[in-house]
Amino acid sequence: MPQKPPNLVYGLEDTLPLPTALLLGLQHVFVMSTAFIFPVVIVRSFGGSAEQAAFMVTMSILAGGVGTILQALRKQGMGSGYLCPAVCGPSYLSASLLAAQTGGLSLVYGMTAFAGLFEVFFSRLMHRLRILFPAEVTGVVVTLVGVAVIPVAIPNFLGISPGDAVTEALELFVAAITLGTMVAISVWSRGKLRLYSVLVGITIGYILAAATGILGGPEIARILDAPLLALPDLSHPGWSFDLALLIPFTIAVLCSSLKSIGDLTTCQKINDAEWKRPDMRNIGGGILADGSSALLSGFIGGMGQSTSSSNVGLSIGTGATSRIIAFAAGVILILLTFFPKLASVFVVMPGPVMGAGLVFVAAFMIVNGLQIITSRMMDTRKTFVVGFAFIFGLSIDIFPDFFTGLPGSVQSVFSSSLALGTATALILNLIFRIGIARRKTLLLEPGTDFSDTIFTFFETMGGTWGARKEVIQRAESAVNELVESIVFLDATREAIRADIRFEEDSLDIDIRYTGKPLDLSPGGPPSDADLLEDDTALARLSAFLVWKYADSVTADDKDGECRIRLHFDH
Amino acid sequence: MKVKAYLAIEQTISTMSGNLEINERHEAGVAIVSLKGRLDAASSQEAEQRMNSLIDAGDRSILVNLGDLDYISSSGLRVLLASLKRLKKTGGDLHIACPKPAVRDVFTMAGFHRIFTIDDDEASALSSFTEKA
Repeated sequence: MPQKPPNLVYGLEDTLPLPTALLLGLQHVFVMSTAFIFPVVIVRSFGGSAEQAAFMVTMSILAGGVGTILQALRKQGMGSGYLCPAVCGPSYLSASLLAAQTGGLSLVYGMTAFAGLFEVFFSRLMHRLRILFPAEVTGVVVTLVGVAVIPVAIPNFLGISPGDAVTEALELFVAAITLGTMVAISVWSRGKLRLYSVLVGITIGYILAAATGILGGPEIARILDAPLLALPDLSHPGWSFDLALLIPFTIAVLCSSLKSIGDLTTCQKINDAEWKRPDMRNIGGGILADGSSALLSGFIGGMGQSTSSSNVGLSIGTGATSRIIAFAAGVILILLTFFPKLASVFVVMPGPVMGAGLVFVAAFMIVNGLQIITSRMMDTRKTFVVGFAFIFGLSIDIFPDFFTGLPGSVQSVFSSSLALGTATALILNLIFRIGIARRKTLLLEPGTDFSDTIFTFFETMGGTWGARKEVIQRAESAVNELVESIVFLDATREAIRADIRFEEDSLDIDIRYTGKPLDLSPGGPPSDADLLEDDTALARLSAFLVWKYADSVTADDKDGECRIRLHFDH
Repeated sequence: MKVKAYLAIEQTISTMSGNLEINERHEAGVAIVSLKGRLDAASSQEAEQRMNSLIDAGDRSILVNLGDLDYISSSGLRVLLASLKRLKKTGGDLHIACPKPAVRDVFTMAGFHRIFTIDDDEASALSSFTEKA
């Protein structure tokens, strides 16, 4: 059972009043609305009509609402059970543009449905893929998920858009006040106001944007002209498929799934104070929900769906991760498809306000990713995995022109720092697994500086294995205490052998020597008077500490060979 | 102020034993022993000798700064306990300052946090001697 971290106001399983759930759900919808723009970009790319764009946006919102609810379910293998909303996935943009330009919207929908189906099957393999996702790889993915928000966030923050390359002072003013409000509420507010930091910031941003003319007449007219209540337009163009687009859409859905793995890992971590590693079975349920929402979206005429990193960042920033908020957000999204006037409020969100919100949530994503990376010990191999993934991944954002001439089939991998960085980390992780021994033997000679041998060994192997530092510290302390005891009691004069076996979820140490057995019966520590007057008290203190360090201790002896087994959960 | 500054830099003695570096200095009438590295069976003998030398030389207030100590074993704990016992017998005291979390955990596990006065920083540890005086 995950332990709720103290910084959460509303944890995963917490219930909350309906008005609070609706307000927090609405806040998530504001952040999700930043992705409403992608279907518009796809339709515009082949000269489609405003009606086609409206249809695709509406269906994407509907699929996102259903996907958000599916993700929060955790029933019969469907969903991760987390507040991890579904939005139009940027990973699908490149492949969808290619499909739209070659075969129109019917091809986009058909290929999106195929991608969703692929992800559904892929989700069934997740629990077997743990080897691919050690903490440093997952951390890289989560960090790059945050970094991937920057190219969208900063132009909006600065008021830059296609056809408007100039930052105006008023746009910067609105962005700064919006972001400042969110940050100030997060850092200095008391009580439950922190829950609404983004909602308050966005509301102030809208008011300022209207007052300064950034939210102008056309946008306000669009809201006023939209009908209050209307059934979604159901003029679906049908579906078509093209074998040539299988590769780009497969790469797109793999990139989308990897991003979702990063998002779901973050959800696990922020909801469990004692989080240690990704739960791949739970992630499999999340990917199934992700694939199902993409499949649904392709079927009804929307864009490929993926989990929203920005909303995960929002959950961290506000301290509210309750699943009930996911249900509220999902219902609001579904209702929006029947209330065009309300939907248009989100669609016209001013760039500086949107940019401020994205900058706010990206900060949390990036720091979370870095925390996951540093939760494990690093050696040269892991330094290369993490370092190269960032260098090659970020090169996409720094030198975008270098990769424009690549074939369309691999464009998805080279389309974002997230995709290339993740691919680099995955491949290097597999390569650097070559030659790592999971079993090692240590020989310790009484009368030598064995403690140096013990500590050097564990520090080195801890980095090679990518072990948790806290577990390695307990293991080296326990072994040192044991050997000190053996030497102090003169239990042997021969070499002491330690066989160490590391697995991702355990560290087992088997210590053998020929000589007298130690009394390792569990008990309390000796009194301070005993420690000074009784020579055996020091050994009793050692044994007591060994029991404290290890998760389990067993000892036996046979034909003069003593054996002590230490087990550590990892 | 001048006198205090002079006392602070009165004398610093540094030795290395095993994986432990021991530094001694005196400030405001308190002997400050800073330990760096690991205090275990390999280094506890040298540490015990240094503590005994200070007590034999008449020091009655000893502050052991563990800010740079990475690990302490039961042998190391015993050295500190033995020194505390000797000091208490002659009206003196031994305080601990700045232990890292891992070292503080060992004190807590072994129940030594109830025996020693442990402060988070050296200045507080020094003033706790003054308050007692």
